[in-house]
Amino acid sequence: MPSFRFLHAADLHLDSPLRGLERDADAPVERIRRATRDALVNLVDLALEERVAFVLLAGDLYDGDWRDWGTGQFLVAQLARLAAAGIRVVAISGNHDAASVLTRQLRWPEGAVLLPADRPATVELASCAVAVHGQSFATRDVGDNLALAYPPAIPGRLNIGLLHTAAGRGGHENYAPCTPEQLAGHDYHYWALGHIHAREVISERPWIVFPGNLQGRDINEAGAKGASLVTVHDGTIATVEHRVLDVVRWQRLIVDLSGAVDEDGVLSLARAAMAGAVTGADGRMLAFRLVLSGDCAVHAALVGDPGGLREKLRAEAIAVAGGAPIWLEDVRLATRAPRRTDRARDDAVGTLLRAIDETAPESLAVAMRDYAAAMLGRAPALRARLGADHPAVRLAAGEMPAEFLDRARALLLARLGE
Amino acid sequence: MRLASLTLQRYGNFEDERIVLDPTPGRVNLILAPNGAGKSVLRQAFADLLCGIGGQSPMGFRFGYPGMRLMTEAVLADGATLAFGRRKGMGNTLIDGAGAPLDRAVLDAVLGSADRPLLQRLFALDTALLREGGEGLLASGGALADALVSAAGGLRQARGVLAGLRAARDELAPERKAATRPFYQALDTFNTARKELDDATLTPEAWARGEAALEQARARRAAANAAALAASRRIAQLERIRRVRPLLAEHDAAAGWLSDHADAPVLPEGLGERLAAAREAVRRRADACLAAGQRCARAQDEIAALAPDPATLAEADAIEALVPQAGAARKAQEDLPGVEAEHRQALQEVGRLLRELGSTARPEQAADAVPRPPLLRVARALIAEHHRLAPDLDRLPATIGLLDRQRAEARGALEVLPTPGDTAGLAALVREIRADGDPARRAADAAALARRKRGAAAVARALVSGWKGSPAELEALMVPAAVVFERLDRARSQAHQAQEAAATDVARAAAALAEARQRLHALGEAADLIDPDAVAAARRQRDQGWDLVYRQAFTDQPPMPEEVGQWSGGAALPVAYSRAVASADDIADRRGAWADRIATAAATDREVRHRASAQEVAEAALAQATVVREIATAAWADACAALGLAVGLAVGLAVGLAGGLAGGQAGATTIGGVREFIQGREAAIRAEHEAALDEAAERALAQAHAAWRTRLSAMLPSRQAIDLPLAAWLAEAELALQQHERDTAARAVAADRLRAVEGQLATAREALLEARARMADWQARWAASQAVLGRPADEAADLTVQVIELYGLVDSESRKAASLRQRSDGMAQDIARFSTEVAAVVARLDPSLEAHDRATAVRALQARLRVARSTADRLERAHQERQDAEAALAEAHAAQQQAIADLRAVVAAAGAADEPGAEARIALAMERAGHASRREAAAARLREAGDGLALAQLRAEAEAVDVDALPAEIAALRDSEAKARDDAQTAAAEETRIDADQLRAIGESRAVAARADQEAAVATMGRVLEQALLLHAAAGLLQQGLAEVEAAGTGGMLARITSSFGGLTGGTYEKVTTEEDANGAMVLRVVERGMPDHPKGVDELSEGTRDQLFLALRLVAIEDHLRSAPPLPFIADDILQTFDDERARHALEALALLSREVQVIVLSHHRHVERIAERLGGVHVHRIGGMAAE
Repeated sequence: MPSFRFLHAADLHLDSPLRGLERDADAPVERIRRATRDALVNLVDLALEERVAFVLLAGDLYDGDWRDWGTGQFLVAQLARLAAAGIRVVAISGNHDAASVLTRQLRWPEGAVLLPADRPATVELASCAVAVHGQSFATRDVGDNLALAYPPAIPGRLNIGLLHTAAGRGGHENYAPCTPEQLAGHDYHYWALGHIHAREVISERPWIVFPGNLQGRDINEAGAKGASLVTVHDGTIATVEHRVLDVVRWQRLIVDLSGAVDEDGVLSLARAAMAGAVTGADGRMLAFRLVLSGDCAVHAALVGDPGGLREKLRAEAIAVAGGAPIWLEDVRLATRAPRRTDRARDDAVGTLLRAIDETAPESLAVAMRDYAAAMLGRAPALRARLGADHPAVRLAAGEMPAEFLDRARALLLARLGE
Repeated sequence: MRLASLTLQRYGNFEDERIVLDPTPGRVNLILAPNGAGKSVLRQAFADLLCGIGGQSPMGFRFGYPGMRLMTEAVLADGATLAFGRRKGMGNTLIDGAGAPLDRAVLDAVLGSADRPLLQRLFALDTALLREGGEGLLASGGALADALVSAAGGLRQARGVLAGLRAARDELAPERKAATRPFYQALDTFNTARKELDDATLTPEAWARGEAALEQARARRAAANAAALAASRRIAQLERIRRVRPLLAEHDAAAGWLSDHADAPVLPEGLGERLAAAREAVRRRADACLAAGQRCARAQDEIAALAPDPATLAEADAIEALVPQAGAARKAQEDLPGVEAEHRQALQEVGRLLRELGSTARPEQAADAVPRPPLLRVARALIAEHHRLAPDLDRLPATIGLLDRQRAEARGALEVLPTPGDTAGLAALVREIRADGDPARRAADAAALARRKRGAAAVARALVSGWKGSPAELEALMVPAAVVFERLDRARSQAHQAQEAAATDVARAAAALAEARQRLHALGEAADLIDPDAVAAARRQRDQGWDLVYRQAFTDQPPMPEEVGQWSGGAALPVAYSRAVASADDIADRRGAWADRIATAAATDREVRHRASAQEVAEAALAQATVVREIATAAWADACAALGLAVGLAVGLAVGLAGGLAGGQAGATTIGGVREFIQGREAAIRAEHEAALDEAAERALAQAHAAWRTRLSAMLPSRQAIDLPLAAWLAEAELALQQHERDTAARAVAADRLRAVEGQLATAREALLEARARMADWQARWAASQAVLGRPADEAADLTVQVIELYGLVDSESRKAASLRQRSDGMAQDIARFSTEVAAVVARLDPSLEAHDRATAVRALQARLRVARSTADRLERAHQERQDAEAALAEAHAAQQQAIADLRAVVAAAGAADEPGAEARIALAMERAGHASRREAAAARLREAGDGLALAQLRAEAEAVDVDALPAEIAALRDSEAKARDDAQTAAAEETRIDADQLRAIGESRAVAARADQEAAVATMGRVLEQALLLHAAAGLLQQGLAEVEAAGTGGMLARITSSFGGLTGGTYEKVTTEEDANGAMVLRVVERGMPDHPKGVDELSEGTRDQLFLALRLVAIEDHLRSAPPLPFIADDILQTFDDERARHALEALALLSREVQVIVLSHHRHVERIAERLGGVHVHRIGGMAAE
C-alpha cells in the first residue's frame, strides 16, 4: 500500500473581509485585506513544501454574495500552482459558495475538480489508491442528509468522504444534517468536513475532522487557524496534524484589573497581556480585543472616558509590538467598582442613585428604540451588517438588554463622579 | 444646654437683674418687656455669656465696665447643673458660680464649636437678623444655598452631566445628520466604499471582454510582426543583391585573366622571396668571412703587447692577509695607552674599597679579601627574609585585637536576631495552593464556568421543543432509538399511502360502477328496453289468462268471477286474454327487434355487476389499509408518548399525525419534530452533565479552598480568629513566609559574618605563631651567616647590608681591572706579530720598501698585486678572443659555400638557367597566383555576402533586379517595415496593458479593498453607535432619576423646609422647591396650595410670609446643626412682631416643637403674643422692665 500525505482544508472564504476592524492609519491595511488570500498562498506553499499527493477543500471557498471575478481568478491561479506540481485538488462547494456566480462560471485548471451538486461523485486517485467521495451544495440551504447517499466504500482504497456539514455541532446552521455516529458507520477511513470554523477532531476511528477555517475573520474566530496535514502510511492514516497558515491572528485578551488603582496600573497590566499575545502571534499580525475585568478603584475613570482609554491602550499596543503589526479591535469594559453607600443617603443623592439603580428597562426602551432605529436607518442594511447581537439592533427591536443597561449605569455613575 | 436663670450685673441698662427661666424640654420661655426695657440687651447678654464679653462691648453705656458680669445656672444634657458666668476683663473671663476662674474646657464641652457668628445666624435672632440671615442663607454661597446644593448631592452637577451626556452622544451620532460627526463620517466612508465596490467589482463579462481585447491585441501584434518580417526579408534580399554585384564583377575579371594566360607557370609559393633571400644570404656570408679574418688579426696584436708579473702573483695570498692586519695594528696602537690608564684607575678604586672595608690587602689580592658570592647571597636572602618577617610580627597582634572586637560584635548581632520557626509546612501548603492557580481567579473562573454551563444547560433544555419537565425527568425518559422513530414513521407513511391508494381504488371502482350503471340506464331509456323479466311477466299474464279461459271453457271448475276480475282488471275474460296474448306477442316482438341493444345491455349489466364486485373488493382493501394505518398511527403515538412531551408538542405531533392523512408534509414535519426533540434532548443531557460536572468542580474547589483556609489558619495562629477569604489567607501566609525568609537570611548573614570573623581571627593567631617561629629560625641562620662572613653576630642587618654592598663593589672593580690588563696585553702582541709578517713579504718582493713604515709597505704591496692581476686577466682574454675569431672565420667560409648552393637551387626550382630567367618566371607565376587568389577571394566573399546562396542563384537574383531602382525600393521597404514594427509595438503595448490590467484585477482587487473599507466603516459605525447608545441610555437614566428626585422634593432638606414652612403658614403653602436661575445659582421657589404651576420666588412673597419662610429655614438649619453639635438656647427677639395672631400661633407652635430639642426663649413686648402663648399652654412667662401682667 502506498504512503503519502494530503492536505485537508475548508472554509477559505476568499476575499471575505475581516470584520470589526476599524480604519487605522497606522495598521497594515493591505495585509488585512489580503489575509484570506495570503492564507491560501500559505496552504499552497505548504502543499508544495510537503509534496502532498492531493488537497481536499471542504466547501465555502468564497462568500456566496461575492461577485468579483478577481477572487475566482486568484483561486484558479493558486490551484494552477498545485496542478503544475502534479498535486490534485478535489473540492466541494458549501452553503456559502453554492449559489456563487463564481462557482458557476469559473474554469478550474487541469487536475482540480469541483464535485457535482446533483449527486454524490467519486474521484479515484489511482496512484495512491484513494477514493474521494463527495457532493457539492446545490443551494445554500441544504436540509437533506447528503451523507446518506454517499456511495459505499471501495474495497482496496483509502476512502475519504468530503462533506460540508455541521455534523451535529451546535451554534451553527445545520446544513446537510448528519451525526458523527452516522458518518462513522459509513466505513470510510477519513471524513474531511467543512463548515465549522473551529478545528475539531471528532473521531479518530474513523477520522472525522473539521480543520477549521484558514484565516479567522473576526474576534469570534480567535486563535491559530490553518489546515490538517494527513499522513498515510501503508494505506493507513498515521497522523493528522494541524498546520497553522493564518496571517492575521485574532486574540481575545482578558485582563484582570483587580488591584489596579490608577491608569498606570491598568496600562501596565494590559501591556503585560499584550506582550504575551504578541509573542504568541509568532510574527503574524495580531488583531486583538481587550476585555478589562475585575473590581478596581479605577473603574470609574475607565468607564468615564472609554475613547481616551482606547487610544491609550492602542498606543501601548503599538509600543509593545515594537514594529510588529498589531491592531486593537476593541476594548470591552467588564470592570466593576465597589458599591458605595451613597445610595443609603436620605437626600437627593441617595434618591437619584436609587432611581438610577431601580430604573426599569422598559421605561427606557421606547426612547432607545426610536433613537437606535433612526440611526440604523441611516445606512442600508446596517442592521444586517452589525448582526442581531449588536446592541443597536436589539434596542431598535424594542429590547433592552440588561447587560447594556448595566453598562449605561456604570457610565452614568462614572460621569456623576461616584 | 438649657438655662435655669440668667443674672446680669452692671450690664447694659441692667444693674443687677436675675431672670428665671424654665429649662424643661417642650417649654417655651416668654420674656415680656416693654419697648426700651432691654430686650436687645438680653439677646446680647446670651451671646456674651456663651462667647465672652467683648473688649469694646457697648453694654457699658450705663455702668461702665467695672463690675460687669453675667451669670447663669445651666442644666446640661445629662441633667447635671453648671453655674458659670462671664466677667469683663482681659484674658480668660470665664468664672464659676463663686466668681473663681473656670477652665475654658468646661464650657467648650458644652458649646462645641459654636461661636458668635453661629449664634447670630441661628440661635440669637431678632427680626433684622432673621431676614438678613435668611437672605444670606439663600444667597449664592450662603449656608443654606450651600446646604441645599450639598443636600441635592450635586444635582446641579447632575444636570450638567445630563447635558454633557447628550452633547457627547451628539458629538458621536446625532439624529440630525452632521457630516463632521464620527458616525456620519463612517457612513460617508461606507457609502463611498459601496460605490467603489459597485464600480470595482470585476464581473465575468468584464473579464471576458478583457480576454477578448487581449486576443485581438495579440492578433494585431502577430500580423504586424509578420508584415515587418516580410519587409525585412525583402530588404535583406535587395541588400544582398547590392552587396554581391561588385563581387561578381571581381570574380569574373580574375577568371578571365586566368583563362587568357593558361600557360603561365605555377611555381611554389614564395619562390620569389626565396630567390631574393638566397641572393642576400650569399652577400651576407661573404661579409662575415671578411669580418672574422679581421678579428683574428686584432687578437694576435693584443697578445703580443701584454707582459705578466708572476712573482707578485705568487705572493698574492700573503699580501691580502696583511691588509686587514694593518688596520687592526693601527687601531691597537691608538687604543693601547687609554686601556692601560683605565687599568690603573681600577686598581686604585679597588684599593680604596679595601681600605674602606678595613683590609690591608693590595689591590691585586682583592679576590682573596672578598667572601665568596654564595656566602653573600645567603646573607642577602636572610636580610630579605627578615624584612618580610618583621612587619608580620608588628602587625599581627593589632589585627588579632581588632578581630576579637569584631567577633564580639558579630555574636551580639546574631543573638539579637529572632530565631525563625519551621515554615516548611506552610511553604509547602502555599506552593500547593499556588500550584492550583490564583484562588480568587480560580474560584471566579469555576463559578463563571459553572454559571455559563448552567446557563448553557438551561438554554439547551429550553431548546428541547415542548419540554416542560425537569432535567432529571428529561434524562430519565426511555426514548426509543431514532431508528425506531424512523421505522415507525416509514411504516406510518407507507400505511398512509396504502390507505390512500385503496381509497383511490374504491373511488375509481365506484366511478366505474356508476358509469356502467349510467350507460345501462341510458340503454334502457333510449330503447324502451324490455328486459327478459317483462317478457316472462307478459307471458305469465297471457298463460294465466289462458288458464282462466281453459278452465272456464274447457273444465267443470270455472274460475271464480273475483279471480277473473282480478286478472282481467274488470274486462271481459276473452277480451282480456286477447289483450294479454297481444301484449305478450308485442313484447316478444319488440324484444326481438332490440336484440343488439339487449345484448349490449346484458353486457353492460354484467359489467355493472363486475364493477360492483370490484368496488366491494376495493372497499375491503380500504378497510384493511385503514386498519393498518390505525395500527401504524397507534404505534407512532405510543412511541411519541414515550417522549413524555408537554401538551404543546403532543398537540403538535397530534396535528402532524392528523395532517398526515391529507399529505406527506405534515408527517415529515412530525418526524422532524421528533428528530429535533431527540437531538435537543441529547444536547440538553450533555449540557446538563457538563453543568453538573462544572458545578461539582466548583464545589470541590470551594471545599479545597475551605480546607486550605483551615490549614492556613492553623499555621497562622495570629490570624486564627479572623474570617478571611483564601486569597487573604494566602497573602498572609506569603507575607509570613517572606518575613521568615528575611529573618532566615538575616541570621544567615549574621552567622556568616561571625564565622568569617572567627576564621580570620584563627588565621591571624596561627600566622602570629608561625611568624614568631620563623623569626627564631632566622636568627639562628643569621648568626651562622655572620660568622662565615666574619661579621659580628649582633651586627645590625642594615650595617651588614652596607658591608655586603662594599664586598660587591670590590669584586666588580677587581674584575674590571683584570679585564683591562688582559686587553692591553693582547693589543701589544697583535702589533708585534703584524710587523714581523710585513717584513718577511717585503724582503721577498721588494726590499726597497723596508725603509717605509709597515702600513705604507702593505699599501704598496697591495697596489703592485692589483696591477699584476689585471695584466694576467687581459692576456687570458686576448688568447680566448683569438681562438673564438679563428673558429668564426671557419664557420663563415662554410656558410658562404652553402648560400651559393642554395641560390643555385632556387634558380633551378624556377625552371631557369640563371637568375634573370628565374626572376621572369617567378613574376609570371605570381601574377597568375594573384588572379587566382582574387577569384577565390571574390568567391569567398560572395559566399559570405550571399547568405549561403549558390553563385548561379546570386547571379540570377542580381540580373533580375533593376539596379537603378534598388535604393528606392529598399527605402520604401524600410518604411513599411518600420510601420509594421510600430504597429506590432503598439499592439504589444496594448496587450501588455490589458494583461497587466487583468493581473492587477486579480491581484490587487479594488473590490476587496472597498469591501474591507465597508467593513471598517461598519465597525466604526457599530462602535460609535454603541457608545452613543450608551450615552443616550445614561442620559435617559439620569433624566428619569432627576425626575424622581424632583418628584420626591429636592432632598430631605427641602422636604423638611416644606414641612416647616407649611406648618408655619397653616398649610397655605404646600411645597418648597429649588431652581437654578439664569446664573446657575440655586434659588427657592414656594408653591401655594392650589397653584402648582405658579411657584413664587422669595421676592414675590409678602413680608410676613417671607419672615415665616426665613423662620422655617432657620428651624431646619438648627435641626441640621444639632446633628453634629450640642444644643444651645434659641433666643427670638420679637421676631413675631410682623405676624398676625394666626401666624404667631403657628410660629409659637413651631417653637414649642423646637423647644423639645433646644431651649426656646422668646422676647416680646406684644401682649397678644402672651395671650396666644397662654392659649397654647406650656409657656413659662417672665416679665421685666415693669411689664405687668394683664
